[in-house]
Formats: sequence, structure tokens, C-alpha cells
Amino acid sequence: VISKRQMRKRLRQSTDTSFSAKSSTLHERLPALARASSGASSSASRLGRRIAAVVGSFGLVGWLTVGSAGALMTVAATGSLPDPIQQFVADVVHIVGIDLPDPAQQRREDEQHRAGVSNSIPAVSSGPLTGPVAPPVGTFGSGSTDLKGAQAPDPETAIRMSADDPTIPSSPGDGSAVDSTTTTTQAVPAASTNTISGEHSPETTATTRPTTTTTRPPTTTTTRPDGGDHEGGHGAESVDRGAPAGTSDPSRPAIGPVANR
Amino acid sequence: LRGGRPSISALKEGEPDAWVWFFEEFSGQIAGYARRMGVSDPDDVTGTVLETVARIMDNFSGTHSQFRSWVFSIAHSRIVDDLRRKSRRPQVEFDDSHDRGVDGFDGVIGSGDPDLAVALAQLTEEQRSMLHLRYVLGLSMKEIALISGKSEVATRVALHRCAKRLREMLERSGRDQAVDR
Repeated sequence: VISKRQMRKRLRQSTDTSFSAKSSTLHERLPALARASSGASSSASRLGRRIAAVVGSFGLVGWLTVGSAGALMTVAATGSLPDPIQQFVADVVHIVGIDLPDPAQQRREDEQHRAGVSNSIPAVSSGPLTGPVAPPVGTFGSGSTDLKGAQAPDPETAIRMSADDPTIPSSPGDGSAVDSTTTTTQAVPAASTNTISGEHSPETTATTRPTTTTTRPPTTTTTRPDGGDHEGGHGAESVDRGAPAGTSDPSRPAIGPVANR
Repeated sequence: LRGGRPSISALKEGEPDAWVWFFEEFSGQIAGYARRMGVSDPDDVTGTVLETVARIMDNFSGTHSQFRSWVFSIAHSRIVDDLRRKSRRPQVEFDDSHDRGVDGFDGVIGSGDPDLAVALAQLTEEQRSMLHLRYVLGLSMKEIALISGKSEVATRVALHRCAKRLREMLERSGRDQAVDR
């Protein structure tokens, strides 16, 4: 049986520890190499490496800062940042004269735009007032129905108006143009009667079409122009004749061409 | 010098006496380790290891024991590199200056002890390394584990197995020789 000690002894005895350096100066070069390695990493070189590391770290921080600022500006230019951040960035760069999308300004513009659209609704609806296109005759029946709903807001005033003006008949359907016009102003059936009776004119259209916008009584009153806009047709004249009655009535202050203009 | 050996700082400062001690202390051990591992040119590997130690000596910090294991870890890395290079590009030697093992093993791993050479030839490279580091160079289990890149427990188990196997082979060869007589 071979013990561990015997095995160790055999291993050591069999080991060839001879070494013949190929370079005779190897043992002389070793101290020089050690000195060179220790000198290379001491004093000035270590200080230089530290300085380089610090400068490098500053450069890295600066690079990151500039890069992140550039990225922020790029995103801010598209207005895709959250509103508070976008507002802040826009305020900051506005100082140096750069205009970026401003959420508050955009909101104001949106509100103004909405308000402008709502204000322009009468203008849009009043456009057809002067429009030359007349609807088909067959539609006047329904138009008259709408006009009934679009009577002047104050029927009593209309009655009083007709009572003051001798030219206005007390009841619709008298057949005269004056009556029809007055009735148009007063109530719709006269207008429909006027059109059906063949007194076709752009003015007639102008008098009837606004009545389709029955929800706006002042627009309805624009059917009583002084003839400036609704150039000289027969219906316009009749409207002119009816207009003084409406304007002379102090109970109808905001109606008529004044409001429309 | 303290107990015949210089301080680590003396080695770092490049004192000639300290490096003479280092050369005499380690050159033979490194060469023997390389030769045991079957390196084709142990002297060349030894010279390379000594130069490497001198070049990076400033990076070391520790005791003499740690310095010893550090030197042999460098030697182990160089030897493994040489063996891998040798396996990739086999070389044919013209000079048979050393006695060789038997049964086709061309490494010089057991000069003067053919039975041991044959037995070592049947071990793996790692097992030969562990046996040499432990029984010839006298490194501890922890140092061997650091050099071989294993845990201490795994190193202990592996060393126990390869020592047992080597012992069995040596006993078998001894019995065979006794029968032949």
C-alpha cells in the first residue's frame, strides 16, 4: 500500500526543476522591469491619470447635459411634451426669442376659435338671405309652416304694428303685394301666399329663406330691409313699406336691418 | 531580508537582491511545474512568467503566501495557454533531450520514475496540475482553488479522487512488477 507521504516523495523526486534561462540577462532584467513598472504608475503618471479621469467625467456630464437639452428641445418643438413641461420650456426659450408651442396660448386660440365659430353662425345663415337661388316652389308650403313657428317673438307687437299702419291688413291673404309683404314680416302665411301668387323675385326668396332659420327672430326681422341689400325688387319695396311700422315701434328695439348689419 | 526572503516592497522597488532571491526561489519550481504539465518548452514558459511577474509587480499587494500563489496562478495561466496552443498546432520535436514517458506519452512528467510517469499520463491535465500544486509545491486547498478556478470543496473532492486513482495505479504497477519477478 502506498501512503500519501510516499506518493508525495515520489512526486517531488521525479520533478525536474532545472531551469536554464535562454537569456543570460534575465535575472538582471527583472529588477529593471519592476522599477519601470512601479515608476510608470507613480507620481506624475498617477496624477495625470486622475486629472484625465476628472476632465473626462466633466466632459461626460457636459455631453449628457447638452444631449439631453437638445433632445428636450427637439421634443418640445413638436409640442408633444406634457402641458406643464411644455409651458415651462416654451417660457424659457421665449426669453431668447424662440417660439415653441405654448399650451396656454393654444388653449386661448382654441377658445377664440370656438367663440368665432359660434358668432359666425348668424353670418353664415344670413348669407342665403342675399342669395339669388330660390328654393323650389313646392317647398314653400313647408316653409310657410316653418315661418309660422318663426313669427316675431312678440305677436302683440305685430298686431299693434298692423293696427298702427293702415296699409297692413288685419288678416293675412288680402292679395296685395303690400299686404303680403307685411304679412311676411308679421307672419308666414302671407309670404307663402306671395310666392304662390307668382310674384317671384329674389326678394321673395330672401324673405322666405331666412324664415327657415326660425330659431333666430332677429334674422326673421331681416326680411324687412330697407332695400339696400335686397335690391329693388317688388318684394323689397313692399318690405320697405312695412319696415317703418316695425322700426317705429319702440317695443321692437333690436330687430330689423340694424341688427343684421 | 527577513528569514532569507525580501519584503514585497523591496520587490516592488526593484532591489537587485530581492529579485535574485525571487529568481532562485521560483524559476526551478515554475520550470518543474511546466515540465510536469507537459509543456513543450518549459524554460521559455518560465522565463515568460518571471518577466510577467516583474512587469506587473506594482499591481500586487499582499503577504508572501499570497505572493506565492499569485506567481503560480500566473504560471498556471501561461502553461494552460501553451498547452492549448500546442493542441491547436502540434509540433514535432527533433531533440529528445529528456527522458520520455512510455506508452506513447511524449510529455516529460516523471523523470526517473517510469511508473509514476505512466500513471500521471493517464490523468487529466487538471488532475496533474492539482497533484503537483498540492504535493510538490505545497499550496493550500484555498490557493489551488483560486488557481484552478473552482470552489474549495470541489477542489478538495477532485484532489482526493485523483490522488486515490494515482495511488491505485501505482499499487497495481507495483504488484505487476512483483509478479514479474
